[in-house]
Amino acid sequence: MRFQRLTGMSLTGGLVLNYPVISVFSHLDFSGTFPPLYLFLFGVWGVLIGLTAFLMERHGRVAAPPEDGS
Amino acid sequence: MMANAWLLLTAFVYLALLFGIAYRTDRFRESGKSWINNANVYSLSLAVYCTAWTFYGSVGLAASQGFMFLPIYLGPTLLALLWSGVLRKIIRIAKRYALTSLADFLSVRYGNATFLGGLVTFVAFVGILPYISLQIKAIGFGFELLVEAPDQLSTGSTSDSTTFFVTLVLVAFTILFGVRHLDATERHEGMVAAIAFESLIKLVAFLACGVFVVYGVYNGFADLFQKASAFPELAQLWTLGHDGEYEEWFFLNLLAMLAILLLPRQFQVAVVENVNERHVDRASWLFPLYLLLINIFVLPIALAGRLEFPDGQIDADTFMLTLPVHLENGWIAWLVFLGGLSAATSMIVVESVALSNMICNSLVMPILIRIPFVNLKEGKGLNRVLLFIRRASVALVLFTSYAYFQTVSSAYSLVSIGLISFLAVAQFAPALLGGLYWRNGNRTGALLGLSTGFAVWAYTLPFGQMIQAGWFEASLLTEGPGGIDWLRPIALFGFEGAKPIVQATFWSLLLNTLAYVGGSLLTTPSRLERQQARLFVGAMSFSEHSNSLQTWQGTATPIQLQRLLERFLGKDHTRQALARYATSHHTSFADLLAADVAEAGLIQHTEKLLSGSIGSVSARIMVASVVEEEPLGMDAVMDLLDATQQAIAYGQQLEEKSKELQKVTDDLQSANLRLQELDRLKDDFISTITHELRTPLTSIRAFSEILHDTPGLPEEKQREFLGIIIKESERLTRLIGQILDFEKLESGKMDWNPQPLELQALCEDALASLGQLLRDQQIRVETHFPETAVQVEGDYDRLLQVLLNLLSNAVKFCPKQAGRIEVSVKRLEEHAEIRVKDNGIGIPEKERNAVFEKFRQVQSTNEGKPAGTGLGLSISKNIVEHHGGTIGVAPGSEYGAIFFFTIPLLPETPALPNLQGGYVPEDPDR
Repeated sequence: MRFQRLTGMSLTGGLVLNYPVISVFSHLDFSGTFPPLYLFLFGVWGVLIGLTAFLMERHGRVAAPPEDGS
Repeated sequence: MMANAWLLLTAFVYLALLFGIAYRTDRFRESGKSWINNANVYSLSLAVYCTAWTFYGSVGLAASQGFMFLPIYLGPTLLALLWSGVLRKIIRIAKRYALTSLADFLSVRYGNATFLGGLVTFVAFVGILPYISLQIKAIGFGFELLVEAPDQLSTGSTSDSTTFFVTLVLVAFTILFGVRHLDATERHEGMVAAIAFESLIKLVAFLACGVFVVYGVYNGFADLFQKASAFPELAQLWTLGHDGEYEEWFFLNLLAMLAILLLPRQFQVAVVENVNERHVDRASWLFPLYLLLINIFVLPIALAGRLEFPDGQIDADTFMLTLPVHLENGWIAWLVFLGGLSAATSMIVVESVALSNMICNSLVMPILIRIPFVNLKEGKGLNRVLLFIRRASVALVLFTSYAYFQTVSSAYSLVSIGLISFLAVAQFAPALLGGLYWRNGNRTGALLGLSTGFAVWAYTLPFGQMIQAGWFEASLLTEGPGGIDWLRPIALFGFEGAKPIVQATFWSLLLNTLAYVGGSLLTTPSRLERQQARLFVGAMSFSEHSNSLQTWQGTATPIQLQRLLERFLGKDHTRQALARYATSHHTSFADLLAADVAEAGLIQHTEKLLSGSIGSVSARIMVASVVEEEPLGMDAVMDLLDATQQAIAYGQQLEEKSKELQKVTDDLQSANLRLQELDRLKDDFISTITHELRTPLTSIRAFSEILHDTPGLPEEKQREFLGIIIKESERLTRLIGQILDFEKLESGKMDWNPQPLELQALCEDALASLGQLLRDQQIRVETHFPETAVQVEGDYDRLLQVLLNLLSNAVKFCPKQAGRIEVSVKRLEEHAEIRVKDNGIGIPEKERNAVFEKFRQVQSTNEGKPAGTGLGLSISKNIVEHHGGTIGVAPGSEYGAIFFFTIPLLPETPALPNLQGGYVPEDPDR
């Protein structure tokens, strides 16, 4: 289930971070600190990372495994 | 500006620090602990992905094409989301089979395909050369800028002597660092710890430079972007869509997605050096976060560079260094230099180690092992040979990269050089992904796909660059070879207008995939290939910690295995490895070697240890040379068959048992039903009997009371009433007698007195005893007897009872004055049949069987209930059946009833007439 969610996120991310969606934000004018495309690209990127972190870390911390004996 | 010597010194001190980290980690590991067994360290080590390309090249690209640097990091992010499925599967397989490189992985997947492993190695080697040359170039201009000519802020070109010197240092550094000794497991914990540290330095240096530029030189992002937006050519950098950029964007995303999985150094750190596959979960978001952080300042720094150097004289790839130098911040310049050094050295070390491992295990060893006079199986000190091969491979890789840099790539930007390598390793994608998820992918397909893709890559990219570098006629680019227009390397098959990297990616991956799928579908794989395909595709169904190579059906002594290991690993390492094995199996080193026959686990462990040094295919061959493989003998086959048959027999027994149980259950069920039925019958019987007994008793009592209470009753009446009382008493007696008879018959307590008897006589006796009744009723009796005596064996009294029963029934139902009864005896084949026919009311067809049931009386609506107990026929049936005959009502009579019963004839009957004499029947029946 988790992997299916991640796959969905990956596909959605691939779609959103490509033409034509990014072309919507590709213009010169900006008000505020950052150009729109800069905000959009890093924003989507950050959201993807945040969601992944939530999915991965929700099930408890990574348990310390035994040392590889070989 | 800082002193040259001081800068050089810090560079070497930094390298020494890396050594220290690696050394401490290795020592620490020998004491049984691990620093790198940590998801965060694992994620940092994956950031070896960020090389000088990221560190210098991204800014360079952003300065001319804006956001086009970003797909290289977005692609890996999109793929990292899938790591918990894809990468974990690869790791699990690699651990199961002790695979230490991508070449190893693919050759084992496609049925120990040695040639495929060699081809993968060759493609990786050739493909990675441009990438390593990029690092050499970056370190070279770093030195040049800061050490040799810090005041000139040159264009970024480097002198031959500097890069050659850099290459020499790098060879020494890599050999000392990654190929110091042979590690049996081919894991380099020290190296991983060092590159994780370098990743931290890279990030810190980049962020420091970014903060310095954005907040130190400008007043934050807003100020910088505002200033840049005053120049239209700079403002353009934060838009996309010029000149086919969206297509390029898509293809770069795709390329980077594949590269993060397929680059030899990524495979090394992500798969081979992985300690615990669960670390992948953390890395799938921490690594993208690292990428995001290191990219935040790329565009701002590029913009600042363009603003600070408006004349375009400075190579944008060097902005990271030239900006702080130009702005006279020596500390930042120094930190950036160390960051760039980290980025380049970590890439070079890991890439070279991965490549030298592939060259040694998948290219050189398979050849050496097959050359008879080299005789590896007997040789001594092979570990030195192996070490030499690996070190030579490192030198080969680095010097060839240097040569490539000198001849071809020095004219190109860092990113365009790196992309060539990305596309080269992307050619492994169909074979790897197909191998992981498509069972029908086979060796022929993999070979065809890889060679097709590699050929297209080589033709469109390096060849195209070589033409531009002046090695071949320029007309090849503009007119195509031999004037064939559609074969131009920059517009293959007429793909016009796209950048070389876009059309090369499109054609090479498309044709590669088609060739892989086509080759796989059109050819039949060997049995081993099919088996491996099944194991690889279904890998996730195996346990995470299971560890099973193909099992060995053979024996070897521990000493033989030890000697084999010593040849490749050296005495000390062999001793350490075996001691570790002994400890983990709760035995001592001495006991382990003292055994006559090595246990299967030790043989497998040996194979695993050797896999690390010489590759899995070669390791199997070497172990096979020691282990005397027992062919699966007749005995073993018979044992197997035996066991199977026992299992089958046992199954059959179980089946029979269950059938028996089912039968018993059915029996019990029917017995239960029968009991219920009997219970019901008993209740019926008692209620009927009570009723039947009460009827005569009631009338006896009623008439007795009349007689008693009426003294003056006329004598005539008195006699009549007394007659009724007597008659009813007789009926009662008869009834009780019949009940007793019936009870005896039912319970089997009846005394039988069988004797030979003659049926004619029996009939005569019966008719005689009813003579008075028949005469009273004026019933005419006809008899039809055969002339010869019909002899049967039976109980005279009981058979007489049957006959009397039938006759009295007939009398009962005959019409008064016009009654007619026929009695006949007939000889059948084995039985004698007696019939009693009357002309009474008859029996409806549906009642014909029921009349023999207890207390069943034929009801007639006209004449009311006939006299009788209702037990007579039931008793008769019992008697006849006891004699082995049948009783019934013959069908077909229109009115009147025909009762018959049969009794078996005595066997000697035909002889009887002669014995008795006098009767010589012409017709025995009539």
